[in-house]
Amino acid sequence: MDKIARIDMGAAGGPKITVGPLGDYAGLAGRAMTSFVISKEVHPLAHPLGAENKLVIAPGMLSGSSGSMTGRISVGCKSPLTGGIKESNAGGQASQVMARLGYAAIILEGKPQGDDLYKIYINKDGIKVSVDNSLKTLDNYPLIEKLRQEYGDKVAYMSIGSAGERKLLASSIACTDSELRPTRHCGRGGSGAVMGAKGVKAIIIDDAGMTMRPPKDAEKFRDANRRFVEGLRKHPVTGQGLPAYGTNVLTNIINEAGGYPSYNFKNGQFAGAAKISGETEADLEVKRGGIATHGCHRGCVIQCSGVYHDKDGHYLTKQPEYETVWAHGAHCGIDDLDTIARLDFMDDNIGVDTIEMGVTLGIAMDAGIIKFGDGAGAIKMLEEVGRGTPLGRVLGSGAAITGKVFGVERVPVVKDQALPAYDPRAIQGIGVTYATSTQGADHTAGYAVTANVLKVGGYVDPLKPAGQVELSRNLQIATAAVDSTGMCLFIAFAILDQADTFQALLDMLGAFFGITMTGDDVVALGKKVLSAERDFNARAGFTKHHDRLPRFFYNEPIAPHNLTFMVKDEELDQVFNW
Amino acid sequence: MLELDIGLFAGLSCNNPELPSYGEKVVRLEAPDGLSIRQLRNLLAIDPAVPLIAMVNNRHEKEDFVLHNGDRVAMFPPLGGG
Repeated sequence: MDKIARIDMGAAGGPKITVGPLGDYAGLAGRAMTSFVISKEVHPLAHPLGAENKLVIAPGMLSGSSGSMTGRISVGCKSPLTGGIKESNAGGQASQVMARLGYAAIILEGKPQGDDLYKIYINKDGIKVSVDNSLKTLDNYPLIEKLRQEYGDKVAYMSIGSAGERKLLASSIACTDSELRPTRHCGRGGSGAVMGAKGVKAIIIDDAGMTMRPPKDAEKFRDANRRFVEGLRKHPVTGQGLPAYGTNVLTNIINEAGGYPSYNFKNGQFAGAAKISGETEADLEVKRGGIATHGCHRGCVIQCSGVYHDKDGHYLTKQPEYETVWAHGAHCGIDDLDTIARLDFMDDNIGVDTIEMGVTLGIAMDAGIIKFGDGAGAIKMLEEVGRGTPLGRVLGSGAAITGKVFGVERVPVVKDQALPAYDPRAIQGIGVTYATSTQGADHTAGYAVTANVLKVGGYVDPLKPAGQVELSRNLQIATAAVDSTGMCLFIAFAILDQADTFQALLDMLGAFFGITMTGDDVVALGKKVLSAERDFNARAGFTKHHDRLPRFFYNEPIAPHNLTFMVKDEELDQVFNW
Repeated sequence: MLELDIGLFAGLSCNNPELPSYGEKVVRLEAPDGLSIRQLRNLLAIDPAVPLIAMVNNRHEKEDFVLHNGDRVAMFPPLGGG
């Protein structure tokens, strides 16, 4: 990956493409690339929908190689949702294809005048940006069907649905999976709105004629990859639990731990949890001819995704993930998997973050627009988001704005991004990550649930404040590094518990680049990325007062443990203490 | 005697054919006083090779934890997600 392509969508005379070397960004990839570019080049007070913002698309360090698990692509920008820096990543095929074409980053800059809609086609011969207004208002599934007729099936697609065109703050960027369905999303933070503001509807990436990126030491790389894959297969989470049940295997254990927020964070358990659990979901998928074990990108050995059919055996959606099931399920008082699956399909189709959208639907229920548990009502509201009605635009702007419009006090957001599926009062470590992450309330940014609930990488009592800051800090650093490698974050379950698997990962990186990579190097990389992000956020106006949870988490104990969030402000301010 | 309300998840089930709840994942059980989590898992004939995550009344407990009448016990194999 020896080049960066900049596409100025607002250039006089039409979009202008400049391809150049990495320069100052040499050695960077994935989240490291996107965050350094945004932090360096975007005015911190830029309007996120304006010409000064940039959308940086970057494969990871090992993407496009023969390494296992290397299919993650990072998208970075100033977030229209949070106003801070955003990195959002997804699986699917785009990362490997873009990396094999040699692009360390594609950067969308500027803003077109007029309302033409563009598509960008990238292949071994270069980049073509062309107007295609026939794509206007198409949602992701029909959009991909239409594009396939022109570009075929051996390409990867990144796209926005109607939500991104409408510049809704919850809008996502979809990446097609290995079956060419738009099911893997750069979900959080409204990156779809930035792509829409720059007039880009779809990016078609075609690596025909290109080969895998070769490692510097092929034999060492092959050996390290083999050991890495053995480690993933050996670990019970990556080798058994995730392939069998998918991410939704978490429902029962988080519910049992009393940290499964229901009815807009009023209770830490949900009576219908078993009905929407991963075990039930996998059972149903298999019964109906769907798939319970499936990889979202080629080269994945964890295979945590799946395919969900309706009761008549027809494709309905990709296997809804844990966060999606919670957000549209327990959070909304809905205990029917078919309703949740329908909502998941609509989210993917319209192109919105399932977490933000689900939490927002629950806020709307708390506001009394529909009742908690009203699945049909939730579907109707999401239809309005898809049609861009005034109510739909409010809802599509996310939980914080919906809460303000309807006068709801209990709005679970940090930096205006909705909380995911773990209550910080029962899982104190994830509360530290929610509060302090540069990304807003984000669970993957420093997934303390590992040690708090799952006993992966040790155990830190989730019900006490002790040890949570250190746990969150270490995980935020590690995650920022993993997010730069192109590796799926689920490798963390294996590398946190198995030193030899972590060494195999270091050996893969070392063999690929012809260097020696140590644990200290990984830490240094993670810190560098987080520092760049913190620096941008500070210049964008964020202070320590933004690194706090909403007040109701401090004041309102939640059953069954009847605890509040107890980590002190002064301790939260120690997370980034380097 | 203890009356226990037991949930077995993510592929675990009662493997003891002598128990009425053989093959079940939701188990109500009467057990002798002083039973520990370790002894309970043995009673349920859960594969000893599986490292268990055990919760009692919504809290993590180690395998030597002694159970009380009316306890809710949940057992999980290693699992993860996100």
